[in-house]
Amino acid sequence: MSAQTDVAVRGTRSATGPGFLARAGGVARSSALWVAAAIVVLIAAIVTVLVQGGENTAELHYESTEDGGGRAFVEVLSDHGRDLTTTESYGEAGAALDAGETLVVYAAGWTMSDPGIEDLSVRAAESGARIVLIAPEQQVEVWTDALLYDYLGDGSAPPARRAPNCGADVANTAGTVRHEDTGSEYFSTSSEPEDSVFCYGADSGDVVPHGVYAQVPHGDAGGTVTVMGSAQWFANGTLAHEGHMSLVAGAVGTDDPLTYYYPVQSDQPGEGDDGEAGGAPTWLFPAWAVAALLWSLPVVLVALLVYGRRLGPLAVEPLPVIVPAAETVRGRSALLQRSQARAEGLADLRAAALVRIGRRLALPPDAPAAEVVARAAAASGLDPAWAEAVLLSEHPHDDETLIRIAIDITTLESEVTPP
Amino acid sequence: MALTWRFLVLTAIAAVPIALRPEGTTFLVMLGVLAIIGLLDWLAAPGIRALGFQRTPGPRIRLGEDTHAVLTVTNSGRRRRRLLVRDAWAPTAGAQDNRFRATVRSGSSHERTTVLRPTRRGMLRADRITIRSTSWIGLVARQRSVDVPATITVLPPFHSRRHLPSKLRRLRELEGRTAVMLKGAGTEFDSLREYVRGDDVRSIDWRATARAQEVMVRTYRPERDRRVIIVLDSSRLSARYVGTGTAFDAAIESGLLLAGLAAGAGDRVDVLVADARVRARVGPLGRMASLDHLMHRITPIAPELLEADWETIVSAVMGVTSHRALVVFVTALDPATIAEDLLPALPVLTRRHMVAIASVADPVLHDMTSARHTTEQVYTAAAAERELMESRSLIHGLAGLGVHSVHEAPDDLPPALADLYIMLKSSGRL
Repeated sequence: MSAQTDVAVRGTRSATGPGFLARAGGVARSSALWVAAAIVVLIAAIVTVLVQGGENTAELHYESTEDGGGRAFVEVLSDHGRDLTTTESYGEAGAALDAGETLVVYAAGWTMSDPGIEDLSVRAAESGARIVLIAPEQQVEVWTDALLYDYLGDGSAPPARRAPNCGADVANTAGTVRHEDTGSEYFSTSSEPEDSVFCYGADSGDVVPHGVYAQVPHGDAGGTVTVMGSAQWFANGTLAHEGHMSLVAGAVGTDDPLTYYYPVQSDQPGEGDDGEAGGAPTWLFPAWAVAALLWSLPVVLVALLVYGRRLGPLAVEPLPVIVPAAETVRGRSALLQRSQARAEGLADLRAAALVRIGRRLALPPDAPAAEVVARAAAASGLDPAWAEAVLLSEHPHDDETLIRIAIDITTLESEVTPP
Repeated sequence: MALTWRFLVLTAIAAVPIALRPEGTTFLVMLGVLAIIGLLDWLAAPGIRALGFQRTPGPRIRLGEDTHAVLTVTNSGRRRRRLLVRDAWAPTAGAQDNRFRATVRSGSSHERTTVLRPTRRGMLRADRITIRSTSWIGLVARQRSVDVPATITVLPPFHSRRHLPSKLRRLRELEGRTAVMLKGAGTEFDSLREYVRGDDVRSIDWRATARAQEVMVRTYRPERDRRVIIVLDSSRLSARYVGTGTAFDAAIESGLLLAGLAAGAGDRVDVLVADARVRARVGPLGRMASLDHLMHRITPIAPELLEADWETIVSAVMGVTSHRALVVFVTALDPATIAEDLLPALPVLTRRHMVAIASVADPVLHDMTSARHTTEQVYTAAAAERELMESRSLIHGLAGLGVHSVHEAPDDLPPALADLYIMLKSSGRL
C-alpha cells in the first residue's frame, strides 16, 4: 500500500528533445524572435534620434534645418565673417543691447511679454543699439512709438512680389522680394517722419508712409528699430530667392558683434515682475538636478517591476470548513438580551442551580423545587426566606436586579455543602 | 520575464549621463539603451524547458511532526543554469525556507530538501515550482512555473494513544492474564479451578464439585470476537471548533483509541465515516491489525457542511454485521438532530445492537456560566446553562432508551469512551 502511494504521489516533469520541425515552429513562435526584432527597432530609433541631434525645429529657430528654419541665414552671416551669437536667453539679449550691439529678434508669435519688450526697448534706446525685428506685427507698437501695424484698407490682395518702392540703398540693392501675407503693413505714426525708411509698400495712395520693411530711429543715442515684415526672408527654404539674403544682410548692418535672440516663453519677465528673468520654479534648480529628478520616474517604475514581480503565483488550497464554537449559545444570549427576557434568562439560571444543588444534596430528581430550596437553606445555614427569594420568587424588574440575583445564586450555590 | 535588482541599479546609474547632458534626447537614448540591454540579457538567459524536475515527498507523519520533500532539478540542456527556485507547497503544508538559488551544470542535477511542518491533517498537495533563470550578468530573468504533482500524507496526531497501554493493561487484568487477581465477571466460560477463600460462592460449579470431590469454581473471562462498530459523524456539526481543534478531530482521536483498544482486546472493529453519505468504511480490524491503515483512510476526510443522513448511516451499520455488536456513534449532542433523525432509527438498532453515543462537550460553556457581572454576561450564562441542561436531559433520555452516552471535553472524550467500553466489556454486556 505504502509503496504504491509513494509512486502515485511522486511527481516528475522533464523535457525531451523536440524534432527539427517542432523546433523551427518553436523558433517562430518563441518570444526570442520578437525580442530580437524589438532590439533592431530600438537601435534604429536611437540612431535616428542621435543623427537628428534633437535640433529645435521651431520656425526660424537658429538650430532648425527645415524649410521654415533659421539656420541658413545664421550660418551664411557667420561664414561671411560676422561675429554672430545666438541665444534663447532674455538676459543675454538684454546684455547685448546694453553693450550697444545689434540685436536681431524673432518677434513673431507673441512669444515675448509686453514688459519684456518694453524693457529691451528702453535699454536699446539708452545704449543706442540697433534692433532688427522679424515680423513683430501688432507687437511692434510696444517696441517703438514710431510704428504701428495696420490694415491697408483697399480690400484688394496686395501683390506677392514687391518692388523696393523707396529710396533706401538696402532695399534697392536687394531688389524685389516676396511677401505673401494679409494686406497689413507697418505704418508710420506721423505723416512726415524724420530719418525713417519705409519700403516694399503696396501702392495704396495712403499719405502716411508705410511698407513691410521699415527703419525708424530709436532713442537719442543713435539707435534704430528695423522691422522686417516677413519671416520668409530669413527662412532656410526661401533665403536664396529674389533679393532676400541681400535684404537681410543689409538690414542687420555691418556692425559687429551681432546677436540673434530667439525668445522663449519661460524666461520672459511678467507683468508684476521687477524686470529680472523669472519663470517656473524648476528653473531655480540647475538643469542637471531637474533631469536627474525626472529620471527618478523610470527608476521608480523599474523598482516597481523588480519588487512587484512575484516568484510564481500564490499557493492556494481549499481548507476544511470550520464553524465557530458556541455560536448558537451566543446567538441565544443576544436574542434574550435584545428582547429583555430577564425572567426567561433567570429561569434558566435558577433551574440549573436547583438541579446542581439537588444532586449535591442527594435529593431525588423529582423533588419539588421548594423542598430543594428549603434543604439548601438548611445545608448552607442561610436565611430560608432569602434563599427562596433568590432561587424562586424574586422577580427581576431591571438589569441590576437580574445581575444581583444571578450573583446571589452563585453565592448560595457555593455555600451549599453536602451533608 | 522578470527584472532583477541589478537592472534597477543599472537604471539608477543611467541618471549619471542624463545629469551630465540634461536634454530630452539623452532621456530617449538612455531608455532605449536600457531596453536593449534588458532584451539582450533576456535572450542570453538560458531557457527553462530543458530542465527536469522531480519531487520526492518524505515519509508520512502524524500531525505535529516534521517531514520533508526532496526536489531534484536536472539540467539536460547544454548550458549552465543559474536558477532561483521556489518550491511552493500548500500553505498548511508549512514549507520552511522554500526559496533557494542553484547553479546547475549541464548534465548534472541539484537536490534540495525542503522541510515541511504541516499545520493540519490530510493529504497536502504541492503547489507549482517556479524557476527564474538568469545569464551570468543577471539583469533580466526568464521565469516559468511548472506543476510537479506531489502529496504528503499527514495522519491524525492520535494524542490519545498515550491512554492505550493503560487501558489495554486494565483489559488484561480483566482477562486474568496478569498476576493481579482482579478477575472480571465476563460471561464466557474459561476454566474450572479449586475454590479458594474469597471466591464468589455463586460461581461454584456443583456438578464439577461432585465429580472432583473438591469445591470447584468456574472462572469466566470477558467475551472475545465481539463486533464493535464505530461511526464517526463528519457532518456540519463536526466542523465546530471546540478547544484546540474541530469536533471531528476529537472524534477521530476517540475512534482511533477505541479501535486500538477493542482490536487489542480481540474484538473485531469496523469504522464508518459518514455524513450524507458513507465516506469511508474500514474493517473489520482484528487483534493483529495495525491502526495505520485506518488512520490512512481517515486522513483525507474533512467535515462538510452537510446534514447527516441517519437513514443511510443506520442502514450502513446494519449492513456491517448481522451479529450483535456495540455501535458507537461519535457525533454531536444536538437535541434537534438527535430527536428528529436519530431517535426514529434507534429502536431498530437497539433491538439488535448495543448503542452508545459519544459527543464532544464544549469546555467554553462552563466558563460562560461562571461570569455574571454584566447584563451581557448574565444572559450568556443563562444561554449556556440552558444548553448544558438540554445536553444533560438528552443524555438522561437516551439512557432511558438503553443508550449509553459519553459527553466530555475534547481531551477527555477518548479515555472516557475507552472506559465505557471497558465497563461494558467487564460487565459482560457486549
